[in-house]
Amino acid sequence: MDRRSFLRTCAVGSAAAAVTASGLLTIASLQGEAARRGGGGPVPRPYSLRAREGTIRTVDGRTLYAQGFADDAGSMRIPGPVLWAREGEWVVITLHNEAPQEHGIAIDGVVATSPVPPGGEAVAAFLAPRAGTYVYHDPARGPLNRALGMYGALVVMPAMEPDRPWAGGPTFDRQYLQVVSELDERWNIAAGSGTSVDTGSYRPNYFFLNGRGFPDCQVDPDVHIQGNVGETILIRWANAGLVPHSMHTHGYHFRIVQRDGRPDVRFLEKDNVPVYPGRTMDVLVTFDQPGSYPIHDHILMANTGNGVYPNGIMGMFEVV
Amino acid sequence: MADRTYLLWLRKSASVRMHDGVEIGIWPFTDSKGQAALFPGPLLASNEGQTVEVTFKNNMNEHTFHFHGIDADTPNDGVPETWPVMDTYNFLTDRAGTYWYHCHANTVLHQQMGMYGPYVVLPADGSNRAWTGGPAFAKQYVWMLSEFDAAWRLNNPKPNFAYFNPGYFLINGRDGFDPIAAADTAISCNAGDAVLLRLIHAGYLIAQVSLGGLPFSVIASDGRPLLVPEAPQLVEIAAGERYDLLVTPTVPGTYAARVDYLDWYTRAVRGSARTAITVL
Repeated sequence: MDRRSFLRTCAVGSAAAAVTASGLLTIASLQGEAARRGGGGPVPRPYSLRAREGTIRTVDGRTLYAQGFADDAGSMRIPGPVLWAREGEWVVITLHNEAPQEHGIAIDGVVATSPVPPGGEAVAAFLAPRAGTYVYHDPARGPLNRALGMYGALVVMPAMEPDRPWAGGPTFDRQYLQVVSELDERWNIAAGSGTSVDTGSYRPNYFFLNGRGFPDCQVDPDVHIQGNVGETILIRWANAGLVPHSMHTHGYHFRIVQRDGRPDVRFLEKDNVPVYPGRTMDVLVTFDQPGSYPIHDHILMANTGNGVYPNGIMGMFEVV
Repeated sequence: MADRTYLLWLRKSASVRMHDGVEIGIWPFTDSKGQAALFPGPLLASNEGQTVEVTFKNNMNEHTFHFHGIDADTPNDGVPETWPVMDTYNFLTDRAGTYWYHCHANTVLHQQMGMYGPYVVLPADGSNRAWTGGPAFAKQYVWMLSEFDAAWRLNNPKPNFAYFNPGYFLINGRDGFDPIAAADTAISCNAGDAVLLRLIHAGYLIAQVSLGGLPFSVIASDGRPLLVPEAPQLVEIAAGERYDLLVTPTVPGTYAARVDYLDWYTRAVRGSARTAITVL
């Protein structure tokens, strides 16, 4: 079978992923997807992504040139669409380059395409890695494309257990995905005007949780987390940026259960932890008191939007 | 009536002298009598199971206390975005370990100005153990790590707090080699003594801490014991984190300890602070 007919087969075998419009992965959506697909043999899970140019609107109302991934239905988003798969499934990502420069897609340690010229397409096919959270990004043009917004997250669930971070791991009631990132406006402005970017100097000045600074990010239910006392939730922190972010939770400690798709059975209980560029960390939080509590980066420059506090990486627990 | 009460004042016109003689402006807290300005702020402590009341005596409705890691309830959490600014904070300290407090109003600036200090919770009986039933120690030290960017003190040009370019790299408020002469920082102990070293990162850059080749165990972090202690060569610590190190030197001598502060993007060493561990 050639690649084209293989991909057509995939498109018949499965459809859109069970991700709500907000990007929130819910157990209900996963169960619905599982029920819809029924049993049967391994069916490749197809994703179609488009590399596009566009703009990002900052928390202080500026519009900056950016690049990002879009799905077939939508315009460019930062971060790109959430990809998810079950452990052991084949995942097939077709990347259409609809931008005027080279693009690609990679998941470090899993798969990488060659740079795709404008108008071209590439296919990244891989066996879903171990359950966990992964950053996907565009490796073309060094760190530049990625810094301009070409990134997102892949979530791999256990094959059978939608309420655990890995097969046999601890259970959670709900899960949330928080992609942290940032941009250096000098890179966006230079790239947008077609001048060269000095990638040796990176001085980020806007900082994002799922693509927005505080309080704009609060409209995202993955950022403004609402729950009830007694519940345990899983937060997946994925750092798609180029610098570390040191995540701090108020109100509750968390337990680190997974890093980069590897269970961490030390179950370190902390209230503050760095997530390094390209890396991920999955943590469990048990709501043992009601209230409103921030989740924020303690590298405090990243709590600003272009220097203004608290317009950076800050989300909120709202627990009743 | 709380088991422990603390009163803190703020001095908004103070400075601290760096190794090169430059005076850097800070907003330090004072001791609990409102007299001596202290940078970092005074060590606050309580035992497991105790209730604590901390009062900000000259707040002027501008600042808060956030007790980092204590997991206080929302009214006592010190976050202006979730609760009106208050002067008095009440909370329970239920887990032994290393914490800290800092102002959480315009935190990016106020923490840089030095509005922070260490907070230690001891076992319920107040004994020298890392936690109830945990390792005993003969002495304890706190190293608060931070950096100064002199340009953030300027009015002209007005600083952009997204850009942090520190020129001074500190342990307990002293930079360069100065911490070698600081009695609260340079460790002095007898061979065979167990020393508990509490690292608190109150700055903004990733830091690497090493103890001149002395072996140590990381026994706790962020106010919680590690299930299995670890014995690395160095500890990498990020903004806001705490690590508790248990050091039991057996060979007399002087050991050169250092804290290297890494560039946010390149991870090149931007600057270092040095101190010493003297084993008798």
